[in-house]
Amino acid sequence: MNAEPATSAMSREMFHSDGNNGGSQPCLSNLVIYTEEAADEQLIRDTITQYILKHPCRVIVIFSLPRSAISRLDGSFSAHTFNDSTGKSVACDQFTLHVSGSAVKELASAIQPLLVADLPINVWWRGNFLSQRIIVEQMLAFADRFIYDGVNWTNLHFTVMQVDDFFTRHEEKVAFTNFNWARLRPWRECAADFFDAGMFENEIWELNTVRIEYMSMPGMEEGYQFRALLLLSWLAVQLEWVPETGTPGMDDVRLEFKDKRGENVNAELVMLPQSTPTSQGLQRVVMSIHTADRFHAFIVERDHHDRLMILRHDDTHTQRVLRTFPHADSKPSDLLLRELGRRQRSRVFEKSFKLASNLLQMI
Amino acid sequence: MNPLREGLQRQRVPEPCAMVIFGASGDLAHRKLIPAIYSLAHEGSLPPYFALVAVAVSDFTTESFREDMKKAVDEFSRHKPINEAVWNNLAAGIHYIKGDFKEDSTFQELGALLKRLDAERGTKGNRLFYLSTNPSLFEIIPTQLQANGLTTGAGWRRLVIEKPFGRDLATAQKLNAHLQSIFGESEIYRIDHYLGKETVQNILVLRFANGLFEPIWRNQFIDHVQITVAETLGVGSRAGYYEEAGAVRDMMQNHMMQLLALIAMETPISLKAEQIRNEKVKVLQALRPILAKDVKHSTVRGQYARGYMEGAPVKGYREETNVSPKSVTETYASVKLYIDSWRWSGVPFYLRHGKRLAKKGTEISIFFKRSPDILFNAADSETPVDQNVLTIRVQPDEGVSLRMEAKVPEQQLQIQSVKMDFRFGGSSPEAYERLLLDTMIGDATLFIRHDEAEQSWAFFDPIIDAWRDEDSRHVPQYGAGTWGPKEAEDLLANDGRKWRRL
Repeated sequence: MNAEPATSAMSREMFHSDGNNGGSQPCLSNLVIYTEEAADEQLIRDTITQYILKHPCRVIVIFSLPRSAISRLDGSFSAHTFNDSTGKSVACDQFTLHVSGSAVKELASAIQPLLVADLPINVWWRGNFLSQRIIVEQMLAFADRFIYDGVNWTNLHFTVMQVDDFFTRHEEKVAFTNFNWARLRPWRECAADFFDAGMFENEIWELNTVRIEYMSMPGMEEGYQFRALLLLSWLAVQLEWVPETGTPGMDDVRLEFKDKRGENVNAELVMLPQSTPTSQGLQRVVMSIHTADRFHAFIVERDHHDRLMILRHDDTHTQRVLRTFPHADSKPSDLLLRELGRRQRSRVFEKSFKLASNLLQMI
Repeated sequence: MNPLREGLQRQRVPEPCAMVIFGASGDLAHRKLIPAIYSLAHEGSLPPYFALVAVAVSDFTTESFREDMKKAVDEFSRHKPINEAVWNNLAAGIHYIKGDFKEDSTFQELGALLKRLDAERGTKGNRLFYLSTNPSLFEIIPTQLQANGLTTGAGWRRLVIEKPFGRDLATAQKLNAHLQSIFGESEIYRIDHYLGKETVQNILVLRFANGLFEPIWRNQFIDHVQITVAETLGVGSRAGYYEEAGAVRDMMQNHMMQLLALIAMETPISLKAEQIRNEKVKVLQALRPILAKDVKHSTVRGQYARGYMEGAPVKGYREETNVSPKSVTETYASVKLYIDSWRWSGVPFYLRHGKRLAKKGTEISIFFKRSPDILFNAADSETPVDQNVLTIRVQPDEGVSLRMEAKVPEQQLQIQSVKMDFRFGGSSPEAYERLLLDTMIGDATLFIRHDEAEQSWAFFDPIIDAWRDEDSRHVPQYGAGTWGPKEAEDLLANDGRKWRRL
C-alpha cells in the first residue's frame, strides 16, 4: 500500500476547494502518536493543532486496545488546514488507525507504508511503553526519536532499570525524549541564570547544599520524585559531583556527593503536601553555599500564577527577585516543538538519566 | 562557560548591563526598541541584572515614560497580551532623563544614575549606548559621553548607531573617524535592521549548508541576479528626511548593498564576525565603478507621479506635504552593476528600489543559465524552456522558491514552469530582538563595519554626483502603482532580459 497518491489527491482537492489553483504543503517530519486511552483524543487534537502551525508534518494517530478479544485494524485519512493568528495556513495529512487485539502486534507493518519518505520519524508514546515492548521494539527499528512521559511511572526502581536497558540497546540510533525531563527546562534555564558571566560564575563551584521541593497528585508520587531526582542528577553531572551515600524516606530523600574539590554536597528531595487539589510538580529549588561564616542562596520558586521567579538570599538576609519566567510548566505542544526542533540527541539528558538511575539504587 | 547552560536553548546570555537609549521618546524606540526589549525579557534572554535609561528632550517623568512604553509594548510586541509580571520586573529598571544632548548637565545626571544602577541593579559598569536620534547628533552625543567620563571605567562600553552612516564617502569617513577617536571599532555597532531578519541570515545557511548550491553559485552557471526592494507606501510623514536622502541613500546604499554582499561573498573561513565582514567588504571593494559617462546607461532614477494604489487615487511625490513642487529627489532607482571577481566576472547584478510601486516585496532572484540549445531549446523546437530561478523572499511571506521545468502529464511533450516553494512559518523574532541581543552579547556579525559603509559610499557617490549634474529638471516620472519608469524596463531589455514580476 502506498499512501501518497491518496494524500496528494486529497490535498489537491483541498487546495482547489479553497479557490486556489495550487498550493504548497510543507512537511518536515512524521509524527506517530500511540495511545491506549480514548480520553486522550481531545488532548492529542489540541496538541496537533498547536504543533502543526510551527512544524508541518504527517501525523499518524493510533488508538490501540491491545487487550481486546477482537483483532482488528481500521484506518482513515483526513487532510486539514490550520490557520494561525496572522492568517497563514498550513496543511497537514493525518492518518488515524484504530487497532485492537492481536492486530496490535502487527502495527509497525501498518505504519511504515504511511510514512513520508526521507523525513525524520518521531514516535510519541502516551502511557507506559514497557507494557508493550514488542510493539515498541518494532517501532524503534524505524524511529529516529522516541518520546515518552515518565511522570506516570510506578514501580520506579524496576521501570528505570528497564528504560535504562532500552537506552543502552538503542541509543546509537534512536534519540529518547522524556517529557518528565523536558518539563525541567524552565527550571534549568532559571537555575543557570545565576551563574552566567558577570553574575556568580565563581560561586557555582562552591555550592554545597541543594533542596528540591515538589508536590504530587495522589498515585503519581514516584513520577514526580523522579523528576526531582533528574534535576538533582543534572546539577551533579554538570558540576561534576560524585555520589557518595543516599538515605531513603517516604517524603524526604537525602543524598550526599563530593564536589571537584573533595568537599561534601548535601542534597534533599522533599515532597510537600499539595497546597491545592491540582498542585503538582516542582515547587522550589534552593542551591546554597552554607558554611559557618557564610550563607548565600540561589532560589528558583514557582508562584501562585504558575510563574517561576529567581531570587537571591545572602548574609545580609535580603531576598531579591531577579527575574520572573512566564511558565513553570509547558503544554505538550510546546514540549514537542522544543524537543523535535532539535536534531541531535540530548547528551545532557542521557547523562542525567544514567546518574538518576544510579542514584535510585542508593535510596 | 556556565556549565549549567550546556544543552539549553539559551546558550547566548548577555552579561549584566545598563542600556541607554538617546532619543527614547521617538518613533523607533516606541515601535521597535522597547517592544523588542520586552520580548527579550519575556523569553528570558535579558540578563537578570539589567536596567534601561531613556534620555530624550520630551516632557516625561520616569513614571509617565514607563506608562507610555507599556502602551507601546501592548501595541507593538509580538507577545500578546502583555505579561504583567515580566513587564513589572522590566519596568522597575526603566528610568527616564529629560535633557538636552548638548548640555553637560544631562550627561552628568546620566553618569550619576548609571552609578546608582550599578549598585542597585548590579549592572557591573557595562554600558550600551544606543543613538536613536537625528543623525546630526551622531557626533555630539559620543563627544559628550567622553567629555563627561562615561566612556571609561569598569565594565565594557558599546555604541549602537542607526543609519545613515554619513551622506557620502567624505561625511562617512569623518563620522567614522570621530566615533573611532572615542570608541574602538569593535565597540561600535552600526545597525542595519535588514541583517536581523531571519531570511537574510538564512542566505548564509542556504548558500553554505547546502552542498547543492555552492558549486553552481558562479558565473559558469548564473546568468544574472536581481535584487528588488519594492514599497507601496509613499514618503508619508518622512518627507522632510526623504527630500534630503532619496532612494539611493535611504535604501540602496545600505540595506541593498548588504543583501548584495551576502549573496556574492566568498565562503568565509568561519562564522566569526570578522571573517564574514572581511568577505562582505571584499565584494564591495570588487564592485566595478560606474563612471560619470556610464551613469546614463547603467542606472535609472525616477519619481512617482499621481496614480492609483489598490484602486484609490494617490498624490504624486511633488504634491506630498513638505516636498518641493520642483523636487528632483529620486523615489525610484535601479542600477546595473558588476563585481570584478573570478566568481562573478561577466554576471550583471540588477538592483531596483522604489516607492509607490505596484506591490510590496523584498527579494533576491538568482537566474541560472538556460539549458543548452539542444533538444528543448533548439530554434525550431516547439517546446522552449525557461530559466531556473532561485528566489529568496526577504519580506513579506519569507521563504525560498525554485522555478524549474517539468513535463505536462499528457501524451505529447509539453513543458511548463513549476515552482517549489518553502515558506517560513510561525512568528519569527523581530529583527531588533536579535540585533539588540547581539549588541549586549558583543557579537558584531550582523553589524556593518566602517569599511563596508565607506566602500558602499565610494560606489554610489559618482552616481549621485552624476544625477545631480544632469539636467535635474528631467527626472523620469512613473505612475504610482506601476513598476517604475519605462527606462528601468529598458535597462534590462537592452540586455535581452526583463525584471521578475513580484
